[in-house]
Amino acid sequence: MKLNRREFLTLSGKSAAGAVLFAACSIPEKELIVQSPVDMPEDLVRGVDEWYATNWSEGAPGDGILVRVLEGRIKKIKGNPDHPITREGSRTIYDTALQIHYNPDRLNTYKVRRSKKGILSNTSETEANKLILEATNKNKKIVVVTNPTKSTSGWVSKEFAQSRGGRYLTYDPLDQYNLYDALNDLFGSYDLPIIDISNSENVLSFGADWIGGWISPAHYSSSYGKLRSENRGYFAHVEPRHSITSAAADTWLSPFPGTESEIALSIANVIINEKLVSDQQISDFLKIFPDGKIEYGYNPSDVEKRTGVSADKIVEIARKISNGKSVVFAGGSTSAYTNGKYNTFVIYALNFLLGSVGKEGGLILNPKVEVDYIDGSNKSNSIKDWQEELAQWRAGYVDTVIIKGVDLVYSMPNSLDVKGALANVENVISFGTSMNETLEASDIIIPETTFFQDWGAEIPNPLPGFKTISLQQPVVTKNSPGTKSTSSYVDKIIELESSLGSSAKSVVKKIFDNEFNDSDNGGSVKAGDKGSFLNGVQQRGGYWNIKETSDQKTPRLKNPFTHSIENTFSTTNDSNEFHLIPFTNNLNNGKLANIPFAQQIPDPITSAAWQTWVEINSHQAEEMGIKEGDIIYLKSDAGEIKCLAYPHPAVQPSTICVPTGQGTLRGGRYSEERGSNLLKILSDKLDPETGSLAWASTKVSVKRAGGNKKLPKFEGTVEAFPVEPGIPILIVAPGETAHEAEKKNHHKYQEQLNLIDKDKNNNHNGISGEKH
Amino acid sequence: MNAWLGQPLPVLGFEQTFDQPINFPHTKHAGPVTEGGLGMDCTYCHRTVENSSTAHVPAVELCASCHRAIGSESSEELKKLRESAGIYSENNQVIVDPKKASPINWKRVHRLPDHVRFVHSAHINYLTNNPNAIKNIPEHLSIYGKENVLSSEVCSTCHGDVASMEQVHQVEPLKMGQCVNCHRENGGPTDCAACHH
Amino acid sequence: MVIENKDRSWGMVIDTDKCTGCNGCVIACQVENNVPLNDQNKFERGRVMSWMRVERYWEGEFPDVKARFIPIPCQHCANAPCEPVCPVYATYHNNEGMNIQVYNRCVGTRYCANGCPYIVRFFNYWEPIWPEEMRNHLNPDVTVRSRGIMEKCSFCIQRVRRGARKAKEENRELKDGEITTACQDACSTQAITFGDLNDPQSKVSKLSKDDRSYTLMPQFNTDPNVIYLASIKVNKEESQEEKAQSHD
Repeated sequence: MKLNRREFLTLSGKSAAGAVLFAACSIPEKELIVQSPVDMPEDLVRGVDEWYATNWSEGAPGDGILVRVLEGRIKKIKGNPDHPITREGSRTIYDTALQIHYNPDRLNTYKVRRSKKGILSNTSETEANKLILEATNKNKKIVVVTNPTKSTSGWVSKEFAQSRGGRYLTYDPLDQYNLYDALNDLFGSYDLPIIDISNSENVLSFGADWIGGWISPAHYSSSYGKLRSENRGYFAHVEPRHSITSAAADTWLSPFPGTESEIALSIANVIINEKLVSDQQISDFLKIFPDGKIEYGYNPSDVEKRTGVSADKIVEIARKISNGKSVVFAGGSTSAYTNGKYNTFVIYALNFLLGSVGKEGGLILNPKVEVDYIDGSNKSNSIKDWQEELAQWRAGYVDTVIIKGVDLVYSMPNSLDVKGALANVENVISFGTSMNETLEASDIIIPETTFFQDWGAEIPNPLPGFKTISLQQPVVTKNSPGTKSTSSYVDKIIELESSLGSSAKSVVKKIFDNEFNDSDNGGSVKAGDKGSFLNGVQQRGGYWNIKETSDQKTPRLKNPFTHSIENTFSTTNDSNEFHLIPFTNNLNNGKLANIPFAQQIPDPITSAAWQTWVEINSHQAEEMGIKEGDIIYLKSDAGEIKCLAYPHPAVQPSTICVPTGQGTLRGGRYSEERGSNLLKILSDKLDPETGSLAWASTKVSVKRAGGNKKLPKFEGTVEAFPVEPGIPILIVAPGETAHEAEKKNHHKYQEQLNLIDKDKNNNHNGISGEKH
Repeated sequence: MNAWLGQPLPVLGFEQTFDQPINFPHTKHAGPVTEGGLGMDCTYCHRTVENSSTAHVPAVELCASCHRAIGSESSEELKKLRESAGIYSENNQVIVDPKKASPINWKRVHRLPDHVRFVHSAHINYLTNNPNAIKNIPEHLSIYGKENVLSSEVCSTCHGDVASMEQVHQVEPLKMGQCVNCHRENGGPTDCAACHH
Repeated sequence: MVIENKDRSWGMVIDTDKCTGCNGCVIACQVENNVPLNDQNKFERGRVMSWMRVERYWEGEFPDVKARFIPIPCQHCANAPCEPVCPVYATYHNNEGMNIQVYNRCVGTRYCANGCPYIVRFFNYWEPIWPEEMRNHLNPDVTVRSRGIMEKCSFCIQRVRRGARKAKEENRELKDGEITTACQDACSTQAITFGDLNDPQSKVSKLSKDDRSYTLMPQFNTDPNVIYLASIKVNKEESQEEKAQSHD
């Protein structure tokens, strides 16, 4: 308000006085206008919120979510309690999706590169469409690449690729290929069975961070909540890294990386020797071995030396899990060593020993669900497949590559040299909502709609024991700010190949029309005609039928294992080698790196954010002279990156844990030039049995670069105080280790041991009424 | 500061109303039949007052629903309205083309600052069930002795007799003092967080 | 029956045994309440604003080490040290047992944050930056604060108001569990429960009388409305038993 008296008087002479005062006080123009829109939909009432049930197949596959929409804008996302997968669960990253849609770096124009050496420039939709049609006509060899998904977009991709005589491949950075292969060998299906944690009494898991982010954390963590309810179950977790799943476990074992199968076999050994289960179960289990017995050398005391895990704990776990309903499962890094499939196979086979296959509280098979217009698989293509494919690209045998939902250039390890391969493909067409490294390397960029604006249907993984189809429906229109020229992937592909249907909506309608015809017995929606049926499905967020369960209650072993695989690692020719344990945090392997909400969620274990850090054991760090925030070089046989150190007590000595997701070279203001890309330096060791990438088998050398940066972390913002009755806390000063603090007696006690006095009438009104 | 100085001058004592892009006369539409108006109910246009935080200004579509057929050809204001709504006549036929339509940007008359959360529906709900609390009752309405009144009969408490206004202007100061007084008299929440959260 | 009810006392029970430390509550609270983005600068300066925060403590040494998590929102103390000190009366205790912060009244003396032993009050030292596009997802039910204003967990009062208004319009009482806070919605394991502590039938009252219940820092006599349930230690108990047996 820099209005002086002179100006005020001058202005008041010229215009209505009311207007002068408004202008003087700089109330924004738009607050002084009430706009009447041309037409007002019935459901667009200001101040009244609408909740729509939909599904986010890229970020939260399988989960049913509810989206709150106010005045045509998305405000909040939460789990859909009605949906059989999500139930009361929720994922940390749900709300970050809001900023995928409303992002300052959102793409809204088509970009084209006229020649391989040219630069990307904006172009009109019609121009770009001409080029796309030319690049995808019937004579071109086309390859379609997406993220692994079992949905309408998978179907459309597959059909389109086949119509052009090409291939459809999927890529997942830290994939679980071995897991699905092992499951197929054991149970005859590539689908994940239900791991019935909520009804179980004992849970033993290996490697998978199922509470934090493995496959379906909403589903599993809500099961964990049930496990910890009235009849509190026992939970043991075996993982070299201390993830939040390890923190939640009653017993956490940290074996040397790759030796998880030894622990499983040792547990089996104890159970068989002590005859803790019936003979039938023992013989079912021993069928997996070629000789019908476990090899020599799996006594707990032998295994203790090879795995670094205490023998007493192995015996304790063995005794606990053979008592009551138990379930054993594996995933995550356990499946990602050179002997990954073997590890996974042996661990899941323990369920035969415990008699929990097909029973409540154990592993229950899911039915095979085949639905027209939904295709794809959650099992991505293995690295071996990709090596062959990229060789084709390099040789120029492929004319056009269409990429959607996965940032190939960012996520593939250096050894694959995907950028070089893309340079030899004539037309690279990519879909994306904001710039990323793959889009940068493409020839045609199509700005994509987000899932808030698209129709789709997905079959969740894992299924909840019965046939389920999740629905994805638009919750905001194409007129959402900044999205006028964006296109939906499915709609675009259908445009290029009209035999697939007329639009994404029509495909989804066909799916549910088919379901309507079979919907008389036990489905989640009952209606009199197809239109009302679809409405009902939209309201519930999907269609499921609890009666359509698996016919196969007790699966037979499909392929017994023939031999164990050696556990090997890459080498660095350095005396000070560390095992590298990559893990996925809230950035979802880089997909959410340009979302500030996702970047600023503090990592649960370290409370760090916005950077790439190295978790290293605090004693080892002390020996090596590494302090928190020191810049560290990590060098593997495939490359080198720089990270900040964070020593803490729960890292296994000689291992380091590093999160993926940062370090993109092209991504928008929130992700560019930030941290380092761990996915690049993963070595190309494969599991020889399956050809899948052994992403947990990289070894790196750790060296100080000689500099220190403050690691952005939440810890230390707030003074620590005792949080549990009777248990003191130890204040560790910066630069101090826990040992030193213990010696100096930096304890802080809670002065009064207290539990709430239940006899006292706890009227919590406090100071009421009398206050002014 | 902005809230005080954003106060329209009429309330501070200056008799002034301002022109709207289309000078919609409430007298002709909502005014009592005895005085030449149509006697329309407030909630026919301001529909969401009973279940939302705002009594929104209606969409152009609503105006067009009547004025595509009625209203004189020569009125300036109606010409402007027809242009906004995309109504035009061709070959003696009246055509409504949404593609030619554009929204109307009315000048806001009543404005509460950002830090206030005023919810119409709660007030309508209360006042319709407790008509004793209604103020500024227009002469032509008779609500004495009634136990329940229509939503449109309570609007005058804060907005004055809009039905008699050629151009709508703010008659009540609508400052916090007025709100709290009325709340105190009628047992409403005096908790700060009822409106400021 | 008024929207405000003097007999209500909103409270929360947090079960630390079920809390997995996933930080879902943290981000849900941030989105629901328009809490400003915490960029790297804020982290480095130690000025992260997080109405609901999850603290991580370490217990033990490798390999018997465990991370322990505890979510801490504003405790809505009945005897709050932050209330009597505000010179402009911007924070007070309302009739329903909640500690209220009135944003438009706050002048930024920060005396209240000084007194809070749980350190749950956060001050906007910088003007919160919301890029144009991101303003679309701001919750219109909650004021967007500017620089110089104190803020803290409000037990999602906007949701409480909406729920109470809805119940009043439908002429009925509020049901237990009808109003949920954003953090409660986001908690997969149902570790957070919110409700009326004065209603003996509500889930929170029943849980608050559990054997494991305790409050934080009782020595300050703040009488908080957030009650924690201690986690159950499985192995420790057994090892103590075994120790006792081995000594025999």
